Amino acid sequence: MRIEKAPPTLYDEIFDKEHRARPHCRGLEQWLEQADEALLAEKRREADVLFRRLGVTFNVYGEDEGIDRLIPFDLIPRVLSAADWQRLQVGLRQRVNALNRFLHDIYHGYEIIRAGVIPAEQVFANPQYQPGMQNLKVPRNIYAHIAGIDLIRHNDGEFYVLEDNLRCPSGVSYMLENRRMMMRLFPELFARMPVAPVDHYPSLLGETLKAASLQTNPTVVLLTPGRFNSAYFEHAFLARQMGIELVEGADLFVRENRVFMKTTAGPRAVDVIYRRVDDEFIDPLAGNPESMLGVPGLYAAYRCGNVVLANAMGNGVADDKSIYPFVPEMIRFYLGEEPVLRNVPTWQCRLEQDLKYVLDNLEQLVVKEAQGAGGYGMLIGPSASRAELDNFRAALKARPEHYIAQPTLSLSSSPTFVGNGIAPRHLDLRPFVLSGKKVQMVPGGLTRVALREGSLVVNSSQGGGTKDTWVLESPSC
Amino acid sequence: MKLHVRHKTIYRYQTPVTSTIQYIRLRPRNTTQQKVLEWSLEMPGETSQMTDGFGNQVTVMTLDEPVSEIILSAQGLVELTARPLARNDSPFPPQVFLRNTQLTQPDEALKDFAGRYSANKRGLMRLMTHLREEVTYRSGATTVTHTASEAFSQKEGVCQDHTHIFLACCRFLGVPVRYVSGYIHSSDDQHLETHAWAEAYLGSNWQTFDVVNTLNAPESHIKLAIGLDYQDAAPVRGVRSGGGMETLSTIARVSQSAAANQ
Repeated sequence: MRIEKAPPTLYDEIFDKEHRARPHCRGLEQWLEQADEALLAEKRREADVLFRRLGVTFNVYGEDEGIDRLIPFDLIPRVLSAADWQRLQVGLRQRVNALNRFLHDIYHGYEIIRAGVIPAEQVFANPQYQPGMQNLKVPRNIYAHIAGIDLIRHNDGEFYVLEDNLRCPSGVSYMLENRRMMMRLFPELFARMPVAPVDHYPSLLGETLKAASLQTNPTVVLLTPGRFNSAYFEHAFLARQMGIELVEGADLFVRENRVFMKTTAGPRAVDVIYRRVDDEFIDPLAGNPESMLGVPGLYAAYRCGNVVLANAMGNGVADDKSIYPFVPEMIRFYLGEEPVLRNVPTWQCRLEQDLKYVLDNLEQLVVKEAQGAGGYGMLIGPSASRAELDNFRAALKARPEHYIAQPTLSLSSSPTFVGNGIAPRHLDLRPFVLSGKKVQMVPGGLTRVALREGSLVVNSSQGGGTKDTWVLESPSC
Repeated sequence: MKLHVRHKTIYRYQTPVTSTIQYIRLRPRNTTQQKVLEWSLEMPGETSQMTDGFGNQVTVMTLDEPVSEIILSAQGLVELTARPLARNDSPFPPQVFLRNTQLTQPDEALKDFAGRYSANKRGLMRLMTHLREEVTYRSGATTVTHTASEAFSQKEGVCQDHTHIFLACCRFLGVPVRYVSGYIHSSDDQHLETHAWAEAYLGSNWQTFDVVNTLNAPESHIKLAIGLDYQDAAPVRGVRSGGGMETLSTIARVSQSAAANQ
């Protein structure tokens, strides 16, 4: 089949600048060359039907037509070499360790601030800093039990961290379902290529959640906001995979600062809550009083050390875009190591000279809200209209501290089935890093792909799709 | 001065409440300004204690049998020292109190108002005085869900609103400021009220700003809890099943302790 190759200004995951398959991708190249367009189209229809039947859907906020939508799935996997993954793994472990150390520090003695590494106001005046976490001891000093680290590969071939997600990172169910789907549609590929397995993720997650408590055989539950949440499918999926109860706020109650689950056999004490409910809604007596999603009294139980929340409350201050520029310094400060993974150079608009640079070069930059998420409040300079640029210029002048800016990175591309053949599309990678007795992850992660030609926005809420992610265990294929 | 406190809160319900859980902040802490000599807090149901992130003493009360009335009764003896507040009496730096909450987020009108004052003691004293003139005290003018901006635009409110407006202004001016809930004693009629005021961090000290009484010194204030806003420091926050309509009555009395009069 016809394969459109990426221009040499881009880094393609499969093909090098001379359009030859990279050594670990030769097997995939052969498959692509032999693939028949009609067959691929047929397989894609099959995948849609199966995903729909399984209920692998997500909700898009602000859309009227039906609440469940399929995230488009691309049949052509994204491939990482064993060496790439090895290096990523070392870097991810390092980064998540430092972020956990940081969270413990800012809720205890805040040494990093007293050492002058991060300005006090950046941390303490941040709306995500949770005073309620002050001096609260959490087992093993772990705050981010589950971290989703968003990475991109630039045209220099290096990986850069785009964003750390330490609150309720989602998407892992797509990673798992995408793999299952590929094995079902193309079993012969897995016989030919040494694809590292990912299906042990639920058991690693279960292990991590158990290790979050110091009890010997802790009872773990998954707390979901319910079926109207965009990630509800994932909550149900993970609970089922781990064999733990999927609960909503009303299924739990607190007595004498202990959390109990209502069961047909009477109340059962709960030790660990894998919660997919935001901080503010977790306890109407401590956060938003209108919240129907949480459990009244849960904060008291947490505060008294009688239950563990995974992830901890107050993590948002560490994954905020205004704190992001300091992560490399955190790694040096807490671990005494040089960062393995790079940060994207970031201008902090709260600083006068940074703001000036940003205003002077707006057409070349990406501007993001310091506390935004989901790709709603951002400007992509090179593709913005005059009016959009003017709007952002005004906003930047009015509230510079609300924004950061970064160079427009050329996200790497990978061959993607686009209906009339195969063409390169941009993508990112979100590995899921689990911190328990040790830091663990399954090879790869979730690959998101911007399906529109030339688009750099991979968010599923903005028309992105996903791919299966392969780490090839040996470079011999 | 020693103050004897008796504070009773009575909730009556139309139909029985079948279960409830409440966070109760009715236990004063020892500070440089106040020494708690005796204190008892009585209520029905099961209770346990918790210290929240701000260092407030919280009693967690749960009740699982039908009742048509709940009485919270606090009683004690507190000595006011008339000394200034300690420099560093919270577990984290004052910058935490720079942040607005949903209740203190200023709108344009409030920003315009705040912008006329400077971020020093003199400026904040003037702000407090003008704010008190601008916003009339009227019991029942607002509810606990009113924001600073709403109260400011309707030009009336209660101590909680005056405090929220002051908080919004200070934070707009870049001054860390916290919400305080407690009791105040007015010496003329031996009357005690539950009250709210602010403490702003100026120079390197926390200073009292009681907007309703335009006071800058905590002459007769007993502090119960602090926080970013009312929600953090509220004397009582609870949820209940059943109960229907609720009526609330509060009796608070204070007297200067006999010992102090001798």
